[in-house]
Amino acid sequence: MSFDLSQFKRDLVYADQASVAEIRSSINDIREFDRETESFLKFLKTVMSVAGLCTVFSLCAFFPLAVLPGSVLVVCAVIYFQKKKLDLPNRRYEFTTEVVNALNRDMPKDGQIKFKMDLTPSNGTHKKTVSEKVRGWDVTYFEDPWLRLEGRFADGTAYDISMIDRFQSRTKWARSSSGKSKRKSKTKSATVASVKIFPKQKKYTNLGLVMGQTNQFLKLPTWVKIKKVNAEPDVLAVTTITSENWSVRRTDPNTKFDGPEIVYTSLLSLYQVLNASKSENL
Amino acid sequence: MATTKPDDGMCHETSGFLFSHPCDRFSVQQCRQCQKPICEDHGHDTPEGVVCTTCLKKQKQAQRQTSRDDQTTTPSDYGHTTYGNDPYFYRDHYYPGYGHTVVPANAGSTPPPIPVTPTPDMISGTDFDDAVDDKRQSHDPADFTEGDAESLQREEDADFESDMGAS
Amino acid sequence: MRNHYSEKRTRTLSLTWEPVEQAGDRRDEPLWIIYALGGGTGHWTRAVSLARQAARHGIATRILTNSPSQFLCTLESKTNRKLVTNFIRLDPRIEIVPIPATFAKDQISTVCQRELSAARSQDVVIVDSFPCGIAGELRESLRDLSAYKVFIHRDLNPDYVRWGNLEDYVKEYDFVISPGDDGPLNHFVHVRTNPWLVCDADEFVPRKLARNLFGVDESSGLPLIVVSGCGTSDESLQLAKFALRLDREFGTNCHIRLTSLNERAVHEAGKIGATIWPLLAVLAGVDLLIGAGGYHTVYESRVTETPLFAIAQKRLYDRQARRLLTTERASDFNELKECVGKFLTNVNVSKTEFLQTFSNGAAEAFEVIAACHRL
Repeated sequence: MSFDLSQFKRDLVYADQASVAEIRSSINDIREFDRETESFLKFLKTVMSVAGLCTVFSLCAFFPLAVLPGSVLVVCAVIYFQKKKLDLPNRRYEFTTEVVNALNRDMPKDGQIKFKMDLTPSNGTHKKTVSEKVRGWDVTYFEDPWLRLEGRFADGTAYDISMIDRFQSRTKWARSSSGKSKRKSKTKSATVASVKIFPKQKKYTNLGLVMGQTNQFLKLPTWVKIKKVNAEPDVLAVTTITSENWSVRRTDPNTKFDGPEIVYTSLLSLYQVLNASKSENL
Repeated sequence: MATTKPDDGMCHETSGFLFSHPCDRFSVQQCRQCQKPICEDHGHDTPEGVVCTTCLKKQKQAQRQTSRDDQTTTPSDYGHTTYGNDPYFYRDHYYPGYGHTVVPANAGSTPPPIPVTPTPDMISGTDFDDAVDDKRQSHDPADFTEGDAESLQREEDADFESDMGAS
Repeated sequence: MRNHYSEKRTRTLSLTWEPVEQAGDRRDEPLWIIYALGGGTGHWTRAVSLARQAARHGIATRILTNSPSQFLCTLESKTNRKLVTNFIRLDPRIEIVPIPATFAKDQISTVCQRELSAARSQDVVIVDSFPCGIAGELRESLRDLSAYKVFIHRDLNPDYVRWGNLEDYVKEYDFVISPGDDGPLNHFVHVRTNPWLVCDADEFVPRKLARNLFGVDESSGLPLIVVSGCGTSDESLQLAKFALRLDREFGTNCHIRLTSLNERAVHEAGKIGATIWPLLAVLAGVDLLIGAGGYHTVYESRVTETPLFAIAQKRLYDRQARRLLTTERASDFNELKECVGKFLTNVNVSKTEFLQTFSNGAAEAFEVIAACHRL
């Protein structure tokens, strides 16, 4: 199915089953669209700043003069907040590009990936899971499964990769020492990565003999924590979580936390289990 | 070293990200060092020209060996090499010992139960750990080479009546 | 159109299908159920070819398909690309049971077993290319089907024939027909027809109009070379890039165009890209066809005497290299380009109308299946 940018602009979700070339091309369209949005927002900010200054000076000088720049300010602000919703989280689509490129190395030429990429904000109302009160704070949790990739490698092994952002928002009223009440708020977020592979039984007949040692083959970055490991004859899976503010090294060379690395190392770890099942010692 | 396989229009490189396998893409160029016909993905620009993934891995291994011999090795760092982010080279940098593995002799006996980390209630999101620094193994300087990896060739009949989009 | 098995999609196709009473619902009329599962466009096109012939004779058909091209006959063009032409409108007697291309093996098995087990003794079940079904789902049910069973034997990978013991299953069919293609099960074929064409001679577009559809002026006197961007997405994109390469190199000596069902490929080709289906209908305007070695590309070019140069693509079941003649086959794009160059040195742009000289194998197939079924 071809990518429809106008449809994407409406719901900010891209779901399809397509070849890597098509996915890359569609994400390129998304990237261009995001760049245009970011440039436009930047331009609006400049206009709003100028209009704001003019409004302030006008108010000081002669009140009626403030009407024009004030109107411009208001209109720009309205447009700004409307357009802001279309400002996409860059790291998500850059992450998807990197991971898809890596998967492509071991997929057949005509292989397709079934995927869904959700670029809506993590704190959307439809992503809210639980609201509760914890030690005086009003806490709201959001769960945002923003990426799912399913496909098959050239050796017949199927894979299922998903990325979930968990977002927590806390607010409470607090009284300062001077007696004034003010609202305090905090946020916290983490990323959960789930990587599963489904090996072909005919190819890895001895997998059952080594899956007990799965943990010893896991080599993951120091800044992620293992949440769950699943090792059965027809599925190997590892789930990790990190609270680090990761980005994508290709676009942010100075980052210490390269998001795609989580998926790369998870896949390598699980494939090392498969390699072990072909060991001569078995 | 010149390639001995006849040029059939296909890429002759077998490097992959997770496993070695024949490449089913058309060849568009030749490796400057081994003259192997290669596709775009398996060709890498170097100052000497385009080389294949295998030749480039050998070059980098030789460079690492030289710097180790000169005792100028720096601790492993993430992504600060020219090709560090390319999936073809990823495992060599970040997964020491990847490839053919020697499993302990008693591996054939009944495996112990897998110690599963207690899972949080994912739906409610109430378990919201901060990541904890985990002392992992330091980088293993023992290099993994392409020759160590057991090739996982695609079986031709593996997809009969499994590939619903085949023709 | 029945849509019992569709999945939720993020985009909705606009269908121009007019609902009519279910084909074959009337108890006394036979229904032809055509099993046409498989990737690409070939199985689907052969099924449509036969179904159109059947509809002309008042026979209702039901096509089971998971082809990504299943929308071709029912979709009004949704693309904003220039020149999307769709010549075929399906007769209301032809019903399509679309199975999503994303359905896995067990889902496909469930759907197909349910559809075929509903076939009555007066019906005809026609299976294209895969005697046991693409997922092997017919292995257990084939013997018990009460309908008249017909197998269409297109070429098949002999490894698969051995792997699946297919000979044992082909024996269960009442009638085996070859659509003009040779294969490892030839010794079971009862009748071999001419190649099946999705439209008849009277539906072909005259040369001048066909060239106009490609945006080529007849008065230019230059040959029209069309690259058929068929196959998988990557293959289609590669062919689109190749078309651009030809245009750069030979664009002053000829007109180069790409036609593809893959929108990425058409987009890649820019102003020389188009989507025309079926290509057969406009081959009168084409002086040289470039493509792959699939069933329809090869036979449509031969029937219309359109020179063909092609690359044999690798397929799991089909042997394209075997189907192509040595004069048609190029091993890679460089060789293909050389073939085009040689062609242009002695091309005769005077292709006359050829409409009357061939027989549509699909019409022959209908006649012979109907006759045998009545016996």
